Amino acid sequence: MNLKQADTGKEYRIVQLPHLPILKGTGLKEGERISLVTVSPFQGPYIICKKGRHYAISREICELIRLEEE
Amino acid sequence: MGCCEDNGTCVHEYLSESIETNPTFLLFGNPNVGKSVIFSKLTGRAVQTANYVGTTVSYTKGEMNLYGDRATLIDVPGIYSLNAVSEAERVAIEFLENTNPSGIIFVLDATNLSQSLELFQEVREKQIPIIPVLNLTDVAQRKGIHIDVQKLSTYLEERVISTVAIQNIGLKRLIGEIRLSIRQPNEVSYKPLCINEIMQDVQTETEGNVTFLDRLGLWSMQSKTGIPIAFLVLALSFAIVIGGGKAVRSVLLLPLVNDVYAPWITKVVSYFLEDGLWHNILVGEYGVFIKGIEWPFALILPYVFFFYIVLSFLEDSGYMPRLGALVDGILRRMGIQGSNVVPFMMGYGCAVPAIIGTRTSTSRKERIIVATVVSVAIPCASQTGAFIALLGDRSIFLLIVMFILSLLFAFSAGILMDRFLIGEQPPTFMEIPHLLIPERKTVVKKIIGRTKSFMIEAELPMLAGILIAAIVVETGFLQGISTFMEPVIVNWLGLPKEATLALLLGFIRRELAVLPLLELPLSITQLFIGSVVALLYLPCLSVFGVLVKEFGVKTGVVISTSTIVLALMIGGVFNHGIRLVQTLF
Repeated sequence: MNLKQADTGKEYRIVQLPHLPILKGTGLKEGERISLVTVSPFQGPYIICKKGRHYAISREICELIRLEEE
Repeated sequence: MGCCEDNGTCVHEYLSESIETNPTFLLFGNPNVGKSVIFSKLTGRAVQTANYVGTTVSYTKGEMNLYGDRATLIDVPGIYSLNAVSEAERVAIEFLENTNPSGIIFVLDATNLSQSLELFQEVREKQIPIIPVLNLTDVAQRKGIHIDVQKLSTYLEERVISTVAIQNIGLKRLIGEIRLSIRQPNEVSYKPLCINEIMQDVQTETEGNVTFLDRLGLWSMQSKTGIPIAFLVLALSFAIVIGGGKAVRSVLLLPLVNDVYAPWITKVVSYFLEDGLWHNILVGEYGVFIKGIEWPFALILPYVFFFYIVLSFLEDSGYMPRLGALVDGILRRMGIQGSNVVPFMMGYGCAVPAIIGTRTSTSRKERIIVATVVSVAIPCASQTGAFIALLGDRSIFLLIVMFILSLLFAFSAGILMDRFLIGEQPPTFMEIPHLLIPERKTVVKKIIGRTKSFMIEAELPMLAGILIAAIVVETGFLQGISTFMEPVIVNWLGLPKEATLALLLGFIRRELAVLPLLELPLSITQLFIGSVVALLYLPCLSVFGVLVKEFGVKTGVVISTSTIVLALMIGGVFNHGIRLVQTLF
């Protein structure tokens, strides 16, 4: 499954991340645990939480982030 | 281009010309970890700080006085990795790779240590002595994150200084460490780090306290609660700026200027000069001694001051990136990311820092769209003050319509530019900081600093504008220009020909395209048309200057010229449209 298919509140583990310059060094890594906090309105980004920090990620990137349920 | 310090020195110039006699330290780290706060505390230099990613878009240099020892500290924009994606990030990397610093003060984020260590690892490979600083330890503690600083020091092969920079905690130890590295410089040979192992060994997490602020931070991002909160924040901001400004203006400043100062200065000038040209230039209809005080201080300053209170609070609270995430879907229709809410909000203060702030954008197309929208449709604080002074007393409804129109113009300009400009739309990736109650001292310092700069930077050009106004009015020159401009001003825009003065002065400062309208007996329709034209009209000289500096002469001239054409075109269309409606109904 990808991040766009995730349910809010559930915990997931990142299985695969796209190789995008914008993601380099942001701390998101394969194997890391994240949860989907909310989906922004107006076709906006997905807000995820990783160790208490929040990130807004646009839908096209979310499609490329593969997850597995914890 | 585009990588200059506040004073205009460019990175490449710094690299080729700067010969530092003092030891030089670079201040490095991820965005929004408190680097600029540490810089400010160590050098005493006031720099822009805020609770969002990308506050620092260029470098700032300052001198550290370390109890007798001296050293230079360079604050560079925060980065996530040594692979730059924006112009601001390139500045940081250029400094690391092309200067030869004595050391690096590396700020680690205690709330996100693993992310900080990723960059730390990359920087370590340069084999430059590093002083690691673990900042935001108070926030980490609140979140239930505990870091064993001793163990971390062992792994990093350097003594880690734990700080809460905003409260001055740990800074004395940091100064001691910098002094030590100056007095006993070491050759370093750092080994590679195993970040996973470090994290497992040094960090423990317990259930953190979920505070009201944490909950509010979440609510402000969720659709159901986020949109009402955004409207509430907007309404509150509007109420504070208009209500507070109006109260101070009408109760204190206007009576002081009109009933005390104006009669006194008129009396003094009349004592020395008889009625005539010079008398009128000094204390007449557009008298420099009267309007030069009334316009900037009694009409504009109260609103600007309250706006700065709101802006400083929003900046330091961490709310702006949340708003950015909430409206990202809307802004993407304009070809830009939600994080551009920050330059837009700053544009309501002044377009100059807003345009410079676009350096964090990852594409040139995005930068040009944001800069154009800010120049065309977002009124600066002074112009907002002028609008409130012009419309507030006659019709609050019209004032609200003006602000809604400014948003509509901004949105339309963005959509059009996205269609016509070549370039890809960068995907959104935004880090959203913790929601915090801003520190009182920092906010007060910001408000005072900004108000001071407004008084210095706005007063001189405004005085020059008022002097020009007084001369063209009193010499009859305005009569000549007005007759020449009659087809545009009177026939097309439906304004009295004296309104030409507003368009003339609007070249100097944006609010001067509004203030002369205060002196004219205008109908509600004319007030509205005049305001629309002033809103869209040419950005002031400083904005033109920064557009040229950031994007080149051609782009600067194109943006500025199109604003004039757009202002006159839309003003005329509104005028004839309203007349048509009035005739029909």
